[in-house]
Amino acid sequence: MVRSASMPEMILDPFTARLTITLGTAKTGQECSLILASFLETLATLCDQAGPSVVGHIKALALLPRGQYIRAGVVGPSLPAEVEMMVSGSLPSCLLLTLNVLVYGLSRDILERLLREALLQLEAAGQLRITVEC
Amino acid sequence: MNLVLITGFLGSGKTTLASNLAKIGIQKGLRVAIVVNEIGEIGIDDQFMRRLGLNVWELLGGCICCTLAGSLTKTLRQLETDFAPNLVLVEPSGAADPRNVLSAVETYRGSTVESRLRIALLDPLRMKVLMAVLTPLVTSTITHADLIVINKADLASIQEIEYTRRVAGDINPAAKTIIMSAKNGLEPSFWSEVLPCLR
Repeated sequence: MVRSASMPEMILDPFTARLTITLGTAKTGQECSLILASFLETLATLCDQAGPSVVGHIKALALLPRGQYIRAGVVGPSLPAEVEMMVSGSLPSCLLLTLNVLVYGLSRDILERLLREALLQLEAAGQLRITVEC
Repeated sequence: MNLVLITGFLGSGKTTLASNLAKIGIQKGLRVAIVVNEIGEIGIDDQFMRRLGLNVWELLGGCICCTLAGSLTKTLRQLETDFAPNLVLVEPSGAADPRNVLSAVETYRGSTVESRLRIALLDPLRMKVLMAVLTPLVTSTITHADLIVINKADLASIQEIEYTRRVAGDINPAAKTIIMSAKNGLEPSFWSEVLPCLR
């Protein structure tokens, strides 16, 4: 959320991470979609709460076997994440997710900290284990 | 070769629009290439579009406008030689100022360039916020457009759409404006604007 129109010029410091998500139990694409949407919305909210900032785009992509994919993104703390997928049946037990975090006003260090915070919440809620490579 | 530049802020729907436009172009028998510039160390958009079976060339790392203008020109030249596309969709980073991107596209003197079209995508859900905080970037995006697409019509309120239409009209009254949802397919009115440039 924008604090005021007189904010000093905000810098964009792109942050990219690769997440390895190990699913504790078998999940359908729909279940994973809800988890992913919740995670991105949480991250966007944390970014908004971290200081003067504007979410540009927080986007994620998991490429799955046989041409399948899950693509998701969020563009603001008060807007729902959008998830698009081409998935049939249950997902593999391990997902590799590429995440690009493009938020004006927050440095990479802060974004990495916020990411880890969002991931902790995700792990606590969803029977998942996640490792991060930045 | 027909060049279509698709600009718009981060998350406004450029990749979705480019993908859908490319798919329709291919269905109509065109050879379609997409040049995408994504800020960040690892591209997501190009991977996604390749997963859809589209031909994608990527420019990574910086903005086309700032550091990669030369790379864009080189890529266009290589495309003409190696791929001979009828339609090239250029999707710069949403953080790029269209003025500088346009400069790279308009000064390209390829032997087969027949037309250039500049499409600007606007996100009505965030228009007020972005106009308040990133005014120069949004204004430049609107100014340097032949066709303005107010996207996400399925999600935005009437008030948000009307505000966006008003702002766009004030800044660039000459541009044609279309309201649609790129993820739900391309409106016939949109395609009719793009088709003339394809002859």
